Amino acid sequence: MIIMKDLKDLINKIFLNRKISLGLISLALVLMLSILIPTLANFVKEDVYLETEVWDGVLATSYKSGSGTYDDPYLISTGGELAYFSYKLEETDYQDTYFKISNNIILNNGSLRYNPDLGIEYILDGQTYYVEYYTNKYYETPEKTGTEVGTINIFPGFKNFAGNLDGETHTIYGLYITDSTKTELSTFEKIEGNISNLFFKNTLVYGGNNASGLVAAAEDAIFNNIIFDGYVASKKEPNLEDVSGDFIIDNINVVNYEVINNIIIPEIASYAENFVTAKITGDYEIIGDVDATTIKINDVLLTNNSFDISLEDLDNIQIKTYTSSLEPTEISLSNLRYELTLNNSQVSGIIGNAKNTTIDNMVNLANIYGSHISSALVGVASGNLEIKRSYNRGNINSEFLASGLIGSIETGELTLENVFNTGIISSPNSFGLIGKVNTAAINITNSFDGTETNLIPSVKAANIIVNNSYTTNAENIDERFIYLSTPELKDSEFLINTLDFKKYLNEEEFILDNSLIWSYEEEEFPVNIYDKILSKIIRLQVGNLGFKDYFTSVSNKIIKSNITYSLEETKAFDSIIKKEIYLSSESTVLTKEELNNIEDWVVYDEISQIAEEGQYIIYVKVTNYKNEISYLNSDILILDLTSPLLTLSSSISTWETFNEEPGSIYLDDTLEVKIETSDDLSGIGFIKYLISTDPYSISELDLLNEELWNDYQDKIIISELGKYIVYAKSVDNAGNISYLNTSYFDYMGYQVEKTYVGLKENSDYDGLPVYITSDSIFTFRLGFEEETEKQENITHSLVSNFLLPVGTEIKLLDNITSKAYRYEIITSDDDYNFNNSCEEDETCKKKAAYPFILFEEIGKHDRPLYVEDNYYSNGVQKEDFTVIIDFSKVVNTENYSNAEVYIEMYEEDLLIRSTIKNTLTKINIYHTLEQEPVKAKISLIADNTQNEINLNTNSTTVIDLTSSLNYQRYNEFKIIDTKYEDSKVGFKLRFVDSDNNLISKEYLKNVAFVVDDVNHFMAEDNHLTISGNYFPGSTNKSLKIITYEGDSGLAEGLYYFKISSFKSLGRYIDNLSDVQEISIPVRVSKANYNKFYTLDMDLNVINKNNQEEIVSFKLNESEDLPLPQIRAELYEKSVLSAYDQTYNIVDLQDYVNNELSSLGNNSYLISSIDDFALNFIPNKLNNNGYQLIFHLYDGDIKIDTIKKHFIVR
Amino acid sequence: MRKKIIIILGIALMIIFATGITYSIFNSNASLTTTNQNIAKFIFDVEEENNINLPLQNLIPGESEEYLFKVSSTSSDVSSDVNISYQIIIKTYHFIPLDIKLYQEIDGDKVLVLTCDETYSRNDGNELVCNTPENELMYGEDYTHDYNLEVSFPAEYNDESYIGLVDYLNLEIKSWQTL
Repeated sequence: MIIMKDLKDLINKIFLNRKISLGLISLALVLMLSILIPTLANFVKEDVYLETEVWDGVLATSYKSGSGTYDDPYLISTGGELAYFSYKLEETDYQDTYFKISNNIILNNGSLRYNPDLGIEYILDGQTYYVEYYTNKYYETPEKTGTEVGTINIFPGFKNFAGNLDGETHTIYGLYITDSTKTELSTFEKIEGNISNLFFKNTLVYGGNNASGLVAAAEDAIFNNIIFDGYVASKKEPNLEDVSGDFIIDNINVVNYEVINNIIIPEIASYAENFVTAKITGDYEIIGDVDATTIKINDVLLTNNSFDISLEDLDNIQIKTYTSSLEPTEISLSNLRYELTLNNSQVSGIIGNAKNTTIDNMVNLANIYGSHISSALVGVASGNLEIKRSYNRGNINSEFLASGLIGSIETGELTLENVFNTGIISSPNSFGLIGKVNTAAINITNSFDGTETNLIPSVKAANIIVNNSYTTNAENIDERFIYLSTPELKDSEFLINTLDFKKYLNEEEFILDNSLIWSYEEEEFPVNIYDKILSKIIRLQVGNLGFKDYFTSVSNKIIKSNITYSLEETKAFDSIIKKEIYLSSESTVLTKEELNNIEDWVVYDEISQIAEEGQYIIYVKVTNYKNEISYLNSDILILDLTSPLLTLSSSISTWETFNEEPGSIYLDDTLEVKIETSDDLSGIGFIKYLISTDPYSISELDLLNEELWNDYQDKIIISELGKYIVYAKSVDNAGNISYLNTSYFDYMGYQVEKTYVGLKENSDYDGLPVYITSDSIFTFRLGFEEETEKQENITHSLVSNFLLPVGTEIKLLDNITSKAYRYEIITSDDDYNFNNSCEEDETCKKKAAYPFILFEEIGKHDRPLYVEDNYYSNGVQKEDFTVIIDFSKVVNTENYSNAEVYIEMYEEDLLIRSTIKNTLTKINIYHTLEQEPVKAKISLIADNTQNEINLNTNSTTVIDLTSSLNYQRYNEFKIIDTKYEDSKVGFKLRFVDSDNNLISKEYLKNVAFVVDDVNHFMAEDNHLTISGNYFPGSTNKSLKIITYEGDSGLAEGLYYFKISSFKSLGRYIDNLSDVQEISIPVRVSKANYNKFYTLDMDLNVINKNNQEEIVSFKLNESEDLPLPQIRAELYEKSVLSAYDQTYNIVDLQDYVNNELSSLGNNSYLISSIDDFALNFIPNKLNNNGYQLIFHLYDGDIKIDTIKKHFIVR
Repeated sequence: MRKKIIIILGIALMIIFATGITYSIFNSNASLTTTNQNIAKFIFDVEEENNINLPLQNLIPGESEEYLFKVSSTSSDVSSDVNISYQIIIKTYHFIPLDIKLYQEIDGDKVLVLTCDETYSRNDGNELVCNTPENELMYGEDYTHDYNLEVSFPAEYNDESYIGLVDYLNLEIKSWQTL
């Protein structure tokens, strides 16, 4: 109660407040208007089944509503109200009054058809009846005898209308206008107002001398958006008009040769084109020689002084006279009379006579039948007439002249823009746009005829301007128009871009621009959007898909269950004669020409179904009551009822059927599984897979969470150890699902923990491919641990993918039992079943097997063989082996690439475990490369080995020794020679004579050897040994050889220190390894060169102005040299600067007078030793500095070098 | 008498300056040692000698030699009664990397007159020619200008290639009367 009271208070307050109450009222008005005012959004009354009733022929007593004003127009919603409108027009022309038609109106529920031979037909519920002319009675037979079957409504028609009628895009069906008494017959007698948005279908206007569909005469009228369909026919026997009169011709002089004169009758000139019969009659008298004189009219000889001549051409009546008499002869004509029968019949589809009228969007679909002049839109035009965006699709028939748009225009101005004709014109004189032109001014723009008919007649008197308009008549091209073939003219892009027939896009765009009205369909000329909608009277319904058009851009529609289709009539009261179906399995749409040629159309009578898988396009052929045929088609309908084909495949097996109890396949390597699936009909939608440790049934797979499935790309890789099943799921585009599974993949086995060259792990080789020499060793350790059931009768084998060469020693260390075994390959025979291991399977890789039971245990006196063990303990099977493959004893071998050695386990010859392949390291074994043995080589590099050591003098010679191991390489990979593993480099020094005889260390008492600052001494074998680093690292040693003055007791001559590097076996050389050696020359001489030699020079400035400068030299301390010798060279300073002390050698002989003995290379022998002089020629010297270099020799032994400088100025 | 004096002075100056070319040759037997060398001083008395052979020997890296000489307008017998301008020119091949600097002693201070290095140009005989600015001996006074030529062999040039190099140093004095 309290709430109600508050509500009342609130309402009272609101209404007391004027502003609030006005606001609310305004809001309510806006809402009401928004509801009541129709929008263009529903202007296309498509697929709306008519709900109004058929007119019962009774006159309503009022309009539905309205007062006739613009804001409150009279609304007409029924046939009775339309008849009331007709009734009211008897008394008023409704000038400035507004009408609207608020509903589709059905005046007759059957279809009216005019057949020139059979008369008027009435098609009702599929039955054709025959209507007696000018009556409402219809009969069963064309003879129309007996009792009529029924009656139809004859609409009375409308008198003059000067108001405004908006049809609001409603359609009047079954309008039947007929009258035997009227000369002018039409729906409206005259319109001086506006008619818009009104469509007529199933209309028949029959009768009158002049007939027109909508209005007999329009003056100062506006028509917009009118579609008229049905038939318009004038009386079958037109009313003929008799015209007669008298005329006079002057007497004719006759001469003695034939004279032809034309008889001119001005009174009949205007009837030249519409007379049916014509004749002239009269009397004549020959004044003169009657017998000698003849007279003919149109070549008919006149006799008996009177004539009655029929005329065929009113413009050409000839009279010929002749006399053979020479007397003057004259013919007198009297009682002359003409008699004409005229046909003025004018039949037009929509407007009879149009004067000062504007037409926009007017479409004639009606078939027109007339006896004289027939046309589609306008019969006779006069004044200013403007027609835009209008066309004819009806058939225009006439016995004399027919036109697609306008029958005739006498005078005035006619504007045609975006108009065309595509209806068939059947007449002796046919024109696409205008039939008859007199003197009018005509402007034609963006227009065409699509029926290979000329558009307008050639009339010189008229002022006709043609812009951008086209003809399809190739035989007789009117040069005012541009010729295009019919297919070219039907091209929508051309019409849109060149002729400005703007394409209808959608309602919103159309509301903004109503020129966007043209609808295009394949192989057809455009129609406006209303025409298109009204013509779509059948809809092909496939499930929830509806098709109403013929179209070629089809898409796939995938259907999972039987295709059910039906034909729905979208408009009632459009009698359809026949509906036919054709099913095509082609994926491309048939052309209309192809459809025309199909003979096995099936008459549609009820909803149908397609149950057979396949792809279909359903075509529908519709024949309407006017015998017009139209087609429509569906998209490509793909009926897919079956699941995709699905196959799983791998290198070891293929699976094609789902197995609820899958078997097991052992894997020792990763495996690629591929899914192949196909669906010929709908195609594959998606493919997924699942790797599972658990088995599933198909029903369980159906219930699995979709997220568990993985998207399949191109393969599935089994790469993790374990036991798995792969499930595949393929779903086609229709939603059909296929499942498939593989066997269990049992991916388990020995895993190689480590592979290394030699016997020990060496980090130097980590991560590198294994390349070894053919006499090397490699080792790998592998194991296996798995919870499993105890397996009995198992055996083990070592396996290789090549036959191990003779001499190969295999050592097997069982790390579980701590036992060691060995086996040596002693035969090259295939005792290991290598060649027969792959007899049938081409993809099989051969392998040799070396059963463990061949191996002897090491360390036991009786060398027992390996005894098989299942290594099973507490539910776990655990194995751990180290395998050493030793090729060091192999003599003849070859290269092996990608060699594999591993272990396999069998249970009664069935492989149950192998070694996981991706844990294997591939071994590359090289014996030769390019036919050269592949062995590591020791390098020895030493500096300072060229200078001789003078044994009996004081000297110190330092030699840096570097020794390293050079592996050969295959590409970038070192080929490891494991012979050098775990061994050191060694150096040995020995002293030999020139014949390489070893010299006892006793002769080296004046020599000390210091290695890295530590004194070393020769051993009893007269060798000095130096130990280096482990291979393959390099070793650097600094060897200092110190000699002391004194006689060693050796004979003079050349000796050598020889230093070698090698693989050390303690103090000894491993003879199997490479040895490198260098030699250092040693000079043993009795002479003592260890003196300080000087050379005195008495002049060091040569005066360039003197003729000769004698420079004297004196060598000191040379008396002890047995074969002293001096060699001299002269050098000149190359740069005039104290900071660059470079000199270039010059020829000494060029600068001295002395005769010198050349030693080559600008070096000269000085003959005298102790005292000698050089007689310089100063002017040959430059103002520069010079350097003399003297080399002191004892025989061939170079003792010293002395440099002396001088300048020249 | 006055004329005689002028004539005698002129002859003396001609003898002293025009022909007063003294050159020194030093034979540097540089060793690779860097032992500190004693600095020897020599008096170059242009009033007494026309040609002086300087006893230079064994200049080695790290050593310096100093040559002292005077330029005077007086002699024991004659003196000039006009102003005399002069310029000292040093010529050398500079094949030894010597630092050559000429100082003038003024009121007990050494004023650097010239550093002769390879920035100077060479003449047609490939000699490096270093000219001092012009100097002037005033008339009527018994003036003597004392100069000190310092020649040093930088210690860093101790490479074997610098052993036994031969070079020379020539001093030339140009003079003329000024009124």
